[in-house]
Amino acid sequence: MAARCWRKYNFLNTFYRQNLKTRFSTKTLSDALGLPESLPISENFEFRSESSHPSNQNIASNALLKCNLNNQTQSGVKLKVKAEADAEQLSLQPTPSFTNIGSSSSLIAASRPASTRSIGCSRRDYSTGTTTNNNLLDNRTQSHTGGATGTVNIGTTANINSATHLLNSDFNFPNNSSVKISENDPLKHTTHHLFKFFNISEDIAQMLQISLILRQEFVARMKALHENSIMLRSPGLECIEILRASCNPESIATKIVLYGDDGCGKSSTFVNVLHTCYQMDWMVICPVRHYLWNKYFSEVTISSRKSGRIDIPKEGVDFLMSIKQMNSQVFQKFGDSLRTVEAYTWSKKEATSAGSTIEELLDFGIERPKYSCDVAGAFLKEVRLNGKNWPMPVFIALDGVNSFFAPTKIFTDRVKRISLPASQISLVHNLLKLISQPWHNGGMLLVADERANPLDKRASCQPRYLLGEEGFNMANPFIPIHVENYNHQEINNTLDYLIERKWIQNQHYRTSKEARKELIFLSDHNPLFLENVLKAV
Amino acid sequence: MAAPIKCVNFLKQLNSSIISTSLIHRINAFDFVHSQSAVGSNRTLTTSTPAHSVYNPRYVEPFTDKSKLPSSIDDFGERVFLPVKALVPSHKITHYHDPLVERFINCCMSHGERNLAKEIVAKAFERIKLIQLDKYYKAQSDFEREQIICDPLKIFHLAFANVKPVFRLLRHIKSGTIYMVPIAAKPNQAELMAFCWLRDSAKNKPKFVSFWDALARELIDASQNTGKSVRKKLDLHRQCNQNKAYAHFIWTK
Repeated sequence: MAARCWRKYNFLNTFYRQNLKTRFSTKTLSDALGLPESLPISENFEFRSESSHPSNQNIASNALLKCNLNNQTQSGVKLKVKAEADAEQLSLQPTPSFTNIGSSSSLIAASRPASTRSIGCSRRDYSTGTTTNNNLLDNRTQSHTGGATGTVNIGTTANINSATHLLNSDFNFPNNSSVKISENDPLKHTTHHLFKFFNISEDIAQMLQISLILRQEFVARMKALHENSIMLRSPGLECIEILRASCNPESIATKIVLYGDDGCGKSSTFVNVLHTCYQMDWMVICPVRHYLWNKYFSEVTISSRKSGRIDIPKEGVDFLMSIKQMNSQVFQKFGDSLRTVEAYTWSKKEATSAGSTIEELLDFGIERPKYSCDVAGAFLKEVRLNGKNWPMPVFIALDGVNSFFAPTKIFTDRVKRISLPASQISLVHNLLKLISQPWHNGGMLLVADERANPLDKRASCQPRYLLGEEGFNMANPFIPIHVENYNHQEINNTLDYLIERKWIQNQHYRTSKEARKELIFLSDHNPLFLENVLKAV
Repeated sequence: MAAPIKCVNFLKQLNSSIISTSLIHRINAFDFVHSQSAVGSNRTLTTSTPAHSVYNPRYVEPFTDKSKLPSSIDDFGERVFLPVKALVPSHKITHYHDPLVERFINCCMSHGERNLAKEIVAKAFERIKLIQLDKYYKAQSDFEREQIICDPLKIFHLAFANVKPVFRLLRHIKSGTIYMVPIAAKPNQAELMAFCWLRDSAKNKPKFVSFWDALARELIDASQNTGKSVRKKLDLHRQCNQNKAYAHFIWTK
């Protein structure tokens, strides 16, 4: 017993130490990666406001640009640089021409490489270790003068610090609440609904297995509040617009890579996009918790199809089940038109002939776990080769895609600690083919997550670092979208929502403005930190 | 009383080179205190000043609330010239500082891992909110909803008030037999007993249940005047009532 305790204690210790090391390492990023400095580590994105009243416009632009830009220094201390002076400049300038989001999304894809690479500046400049306020200011002025490239128009209807009038609110949640979207149909969400909460109905939440995608604490809170509500944020809306514009039978599937710091809300934007794609009656392929295929597997068998490759039959069955469950609507609608092109022979007796429905193929894999991974491969092959003839687009969502390029816990040589690369797992191999090869009528949402990497490779959140050289080249070309911390409006809306829903119980935090300021300071505008701070409140 | 003063006078007469200066200071302080105190008191050298205080007595307590801060510098009075003690680290989050909870965290702490203990108690509070809010939103009528307390801090204070004992038992041996003598518990003693009961009854749990989960359940139970720790308090009170006859032993000691 004592030995066990000691081991546990030791493990905890090493865990904390490693975390500390990775979080506050003195190594610069470019040293660690061997990166040339001209490589675009992240892209800058502009927010501008649009409203009928000129007075509102100035206020909104001030409020948005006053939000802190966090720059990380070498010592790991975060400095806050307020771009107040810049905001003043903006209010004096004549307003630039606005573009609607539908047209801007196509512009983003086209013009991003030119605009970002020429500027070559990131908000978090690891290589120099100093704040880059001046560069940022330059950037902003450049983008103003040189035509709007990536603009998102933002409604200015939210009222900040409206905690006091909510205290005596009734039990029933008011529909005209300032922090709540009355429109539950995600297809009608526009920029006017930005920074507000929308609901996902209980049936759809179970269908999409949201409880397995999101963080456990977050799911517990949603359960206690009897409401699956997620904030509509700009990265999510941007993703949806890009996907809606580009998913045609004619065009090649677009790849979007979401990235951002730990606890920024990548998974919640992921759920947002997944939910909308489901509502649009697209085929949704989302293997939940696929990043655990590397570490925790119930059974490992050697593949009969290809030597040197490995099957994980139970996980394969789960994957097929999830496909069937998430696309029950699609199979009802277009079940007859979805048919296989190729014929597959599994054994002497069992075979799937060409022209049989996709549902039959999936059912076979679920009934015969031995062939589940091969069936999944066959299904993905059908998507790749025959997808453009299907009546609806295919949406593939992978949360924590960088686990595909991380080492596994399947050791080929236990003594020398040589582990199998993840690409040798047959499920991963087949999914990687979709990432690397061009295919039509669909879109992919990939999330580069620190937590999918092993403990010693969590120094940065940039996709180049997390995916590695191999993964980066494989996914290229893709559209990177940075998920940032909350801005001033978002964090205030979150607090308002939690006060309304009675998650914040302490009277100080419910009423006084100073306490709210303290919360915002403690959380550093990070959603995860905010959740941790609000635990006991 | 007479003996130490004689001793001091003797020491004063000695050559100053033998005695260190600090000792002289202490003796002077002692003299000052005892000139003012009553003649018959039983005070000794050690009780005159705290033994290992970091600050000397000139330091004043810091302000912990912004609203109590004087508006102009003239209202500070003497404080302008006096040095101020540093703020206790737990007090820096000013709006959520609760001394009772801080002391309870100390009680839950082991091996000096204070941060871990803090995290665990915070988790327990979160769990209380999860349980109570679930009840709150499931309730059918407004009357039911009013009955449910969701604030974890309020629940903690209620639980503490319910578990805190009034009496305690002292062990007294007389002519070979042990008597458990009831005596009024001082506030700090009662507090410690209540904390330990809450903690220990949460620790008595099956292995698959986490400590913070058990603690949350225990606190909710205790706030409704049920649960293991409340039973422990009632047992103690019953035993004190039974041993009422030995109460006078406290004066014979």
